[in-house]
Amino acid sequence: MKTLAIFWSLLVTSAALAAEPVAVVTTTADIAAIVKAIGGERVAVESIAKGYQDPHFVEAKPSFIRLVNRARMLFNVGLELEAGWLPLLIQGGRNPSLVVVELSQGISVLEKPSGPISRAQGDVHSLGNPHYWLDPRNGVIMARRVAQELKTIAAADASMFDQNLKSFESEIGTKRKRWEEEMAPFRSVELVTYHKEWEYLVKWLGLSIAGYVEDKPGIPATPRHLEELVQKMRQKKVKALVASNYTNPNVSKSVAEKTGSKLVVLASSVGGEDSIKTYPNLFDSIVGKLAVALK
Amino acid sequence: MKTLFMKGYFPITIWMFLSAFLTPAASQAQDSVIEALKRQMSEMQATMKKMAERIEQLEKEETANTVAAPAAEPQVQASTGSVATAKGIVNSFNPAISVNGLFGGGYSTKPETTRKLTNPDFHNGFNFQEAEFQFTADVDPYWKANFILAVDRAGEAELEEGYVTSERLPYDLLPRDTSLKLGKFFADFGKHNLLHAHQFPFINRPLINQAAFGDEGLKEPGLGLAYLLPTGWFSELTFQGFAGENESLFRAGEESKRRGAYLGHWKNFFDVSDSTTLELGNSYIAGRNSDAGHRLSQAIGVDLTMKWRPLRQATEKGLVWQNEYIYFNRDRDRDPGSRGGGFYSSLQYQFARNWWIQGRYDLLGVPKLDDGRKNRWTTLLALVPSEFSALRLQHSYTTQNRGKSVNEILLQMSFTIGSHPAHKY
Repeated sequence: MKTLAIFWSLLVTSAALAAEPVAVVTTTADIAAIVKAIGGERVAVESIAKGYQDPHFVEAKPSFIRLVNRARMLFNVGLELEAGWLPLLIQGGRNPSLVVVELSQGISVLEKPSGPISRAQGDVHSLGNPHYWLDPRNGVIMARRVAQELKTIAAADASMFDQNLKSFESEIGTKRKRWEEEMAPFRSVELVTYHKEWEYLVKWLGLSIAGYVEDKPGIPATPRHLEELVQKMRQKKVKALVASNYTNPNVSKSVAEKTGSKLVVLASSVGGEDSIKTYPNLFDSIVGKLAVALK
Repeated sequence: MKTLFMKGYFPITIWMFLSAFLTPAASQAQDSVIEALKRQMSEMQATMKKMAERIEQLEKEETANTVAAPAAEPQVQASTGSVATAKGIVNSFNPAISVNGLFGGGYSTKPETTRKLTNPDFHNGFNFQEAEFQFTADVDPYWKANFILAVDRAGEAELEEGYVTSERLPYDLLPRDTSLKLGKFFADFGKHNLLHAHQFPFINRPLINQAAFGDEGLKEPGLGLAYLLPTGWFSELTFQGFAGENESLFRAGEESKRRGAYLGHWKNFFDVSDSTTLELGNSYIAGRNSDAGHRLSQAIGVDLTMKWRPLRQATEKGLVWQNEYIYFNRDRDRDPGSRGGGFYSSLQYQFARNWWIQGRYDLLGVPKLDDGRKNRWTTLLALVPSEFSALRLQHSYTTQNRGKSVNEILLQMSFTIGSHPAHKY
């Protein structure tokens, strides 16, 4: 009788375990989209930052502590992008079995400071530019890591993760060709961007950056800086000013008007616009808008 | 209501368990511990010196090696994000250090009244309010340590806080969803009491906090557990046990007369929408005071905070509405300020990237304190160039029913250098 009861309870719990998807938290919506693509229905993923929100300035709300508390694994961007809020969430989460995975591993990080840095340079990231998800080739590196890590907590679904990874890679592969072809006519065209967050995208597409609307990263522009920028843009005949959709449009608008360049407001994350639901969608949107503006 | 407060809320067993940690027996063991620590320190110094020499050697080798490293495509290049130099590795074991300075100036129409009401060493003119040094690091996989040293205008240093926290212990001694805090720290009472001077939303603390817990706030040596309840919203229960050395609430004098204190705090947090949140808290602290008879000193508090910050303009707009009510009872018949209550309600509005405008209303004396009732209206304008500096100008007008009213203007510059502090919500 007793053994039967044990057997029965084991059966019930294992059935429950098999049906229950693994809870995963991500810091950004891009990572959540990649986790969803790899984990499919076996993973219940929630992102802390929304795609239309500046990931530097997320607030450490106690409700996020609950998410971290219930999760099995947490994926983050790293490179100090989340330094202002993630440590408090992990500490508050009181979840000793939580596995924290920083996805910057394997990425070739741009703008790692080689000399001494100080706060006089604004919000410099001492480990390099953290906006690396804006290069689809990095998205593939992130997806591989996600698959590898998910296997450690859901070994039974390993083959499914592999399969999903394969189709993710091939989707990015074919789409990448199309995006690159679409942008090929604009090689070495110079852009001005609001914040220092488009370096990976620009490097991938072979564009270049002539200047920034922000005086220094995270520091709003002074009138003198804007004057110099306007002059530079006129001189170089910069065709487009790129800003993400969570930055204040007023300054960018006035600079664009003064210089005759087009203001291109882009989503820099999945969910930044309603139509951007997957990681490849993000580049569909970005490349589409850039190509139209630069024509 | 009142009689309910007189009775201890919490089981006597918890109280006995906590007070066991607060007995003077611990101090005898301290001397030998200090000796051992000294020995360990000198050993560590020797090892660190050796390490520094080794690092220099390694760095030389490394620079020789990296000269010829070729540039490569992102896909083929090995991880660079987590590879650190030997120097970086040693640095990362150092505590994260930040230093905050508070420099201010003030003018009061009646400096003496201001001294009595809000700031015992106020004088018209400039002064350096405080310098605060914070050190944070993981001790090992189990503990995280935090030290906050404050140097006041007289140059006197004080350990404001010094504690360790843990979310897991060996052999799973700590249950899941629970965190442990040990050391000297601000008691988890309400909202304002947990803040250091440079985190105050206004330049001075609310009148009721001052009346109940004194000029330094309610900070105590002790320990506490905080448990995350399995509810559909964020709900946290905190229990803490303390030495009971607060001079204001416990009239604490000599160490031998202290009888300890215990605290309970229930914090609830709701997301009304992506941009709006609501926090509701209840706090209670009680302990025997140091007077003859060791009568019970108690305080109870409720707080309500509403925050709004539109996610699409997270750096440009924000609103905080905070309210706190505290009632305290020191149970001393002849002391005129021995019992009473008060509250504050404050509104902080960020109207542009670098600008905040704020107002607070303080009412002390509901129910009435024996030495009268006080009202204070405060307005503040802040220029915040970055998260590391702020320049604030504050005006306040205080009236009292026994005494004259007073106008004050305060100016404060706050600046922080060092590690990037994570911001509590």
